[in-house]
Amino acid sequence: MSASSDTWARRAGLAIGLLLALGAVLSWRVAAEGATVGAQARFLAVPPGELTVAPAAAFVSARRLRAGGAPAHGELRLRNITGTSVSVRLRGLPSGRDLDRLLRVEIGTVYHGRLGGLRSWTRSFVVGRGERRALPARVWLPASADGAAAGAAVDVTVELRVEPRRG
Amino acid sequence: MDRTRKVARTLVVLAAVGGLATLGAFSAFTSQANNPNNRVSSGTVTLADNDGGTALYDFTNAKPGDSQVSCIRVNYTGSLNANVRLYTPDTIGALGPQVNLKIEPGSQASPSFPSCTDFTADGAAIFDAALSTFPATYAGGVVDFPGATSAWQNGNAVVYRVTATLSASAPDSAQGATTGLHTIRWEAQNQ
Repeated sequence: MSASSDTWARRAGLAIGLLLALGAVLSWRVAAEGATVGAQARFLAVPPGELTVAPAAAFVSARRLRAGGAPAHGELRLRNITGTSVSVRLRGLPSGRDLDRLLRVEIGTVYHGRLGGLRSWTRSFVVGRGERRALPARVWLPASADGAAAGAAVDVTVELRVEPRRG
Repeated sequence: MDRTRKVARTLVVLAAVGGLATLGAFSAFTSQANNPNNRVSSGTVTLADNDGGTALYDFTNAKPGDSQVSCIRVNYTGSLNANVRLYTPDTIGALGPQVNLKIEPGSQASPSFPSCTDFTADGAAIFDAALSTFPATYAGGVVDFPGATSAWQNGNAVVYRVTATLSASAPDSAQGATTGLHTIRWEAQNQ
């Protein structure tokens, strides 16, 4: 084999090796995804004995929340079925902590803040005897959440603590 | 270095590397059987009512034949199927034999304790006898299920019409007597 053909053979071998390496890297690369996947959040209230709660299913069901995007809306409707006025507090117990610091929640004038803050009982509000009360609810991801919430999903069980008001 | 020697050394290196790789491959043979995602999460048994802490009946200065009627809604939000029984955990006083207690299950379109407006009974009363004979334990308690079912399930609710009556034939010896304060308890236990 001449020196010239030997050189060309080496170059060809190098080029083929580089192509094979590039092909391997490209084929093993994990496809980019997630940036377009929204977060999911469902809020479901558990009726105490003293109040009827509607809807029976989730009162907020957000499927594609995006950072800086439009909020999801819902309404929690309560009716006092006791014979007296009652004082009501509520709290939300999320199924996970992924969205605790990211998701913002507003329930009537009772709560406004991060999802994680809803783990504590809110301040109380009064529902008179036989009175109906509708609490508009809003759930959103602020722009600062960026893509951190992408793909996260949480179910929030909203508990209501009721105490009769005397006098 | 001549070509023959080059080829020989290359073959030696390849054989050494191949040998090591072969040894490594054989030494790494393993086998695993995994049973993933084990977890234990307990269910709930949650029973509540709409009395707001107010008694179903509270007679003062009653005379023979006096009666009070109240309706109470009992709802179940537990995740486990349950049985519900009624009993009183308290001791009934001397007037107990002269007080009739009647408990009827049913429904109400728009319950509001203690109102019985629009109450519709669902079959016969589950208890209709002297208060003194009302069960005192869960084990001996009055059994009730929603409608024709055989278990309380999440979302079930039953309205009970409770009627307490001081017997019209109460003897003079019943004057000034009392049943004492007592609780009517609905207790759920998972099946």
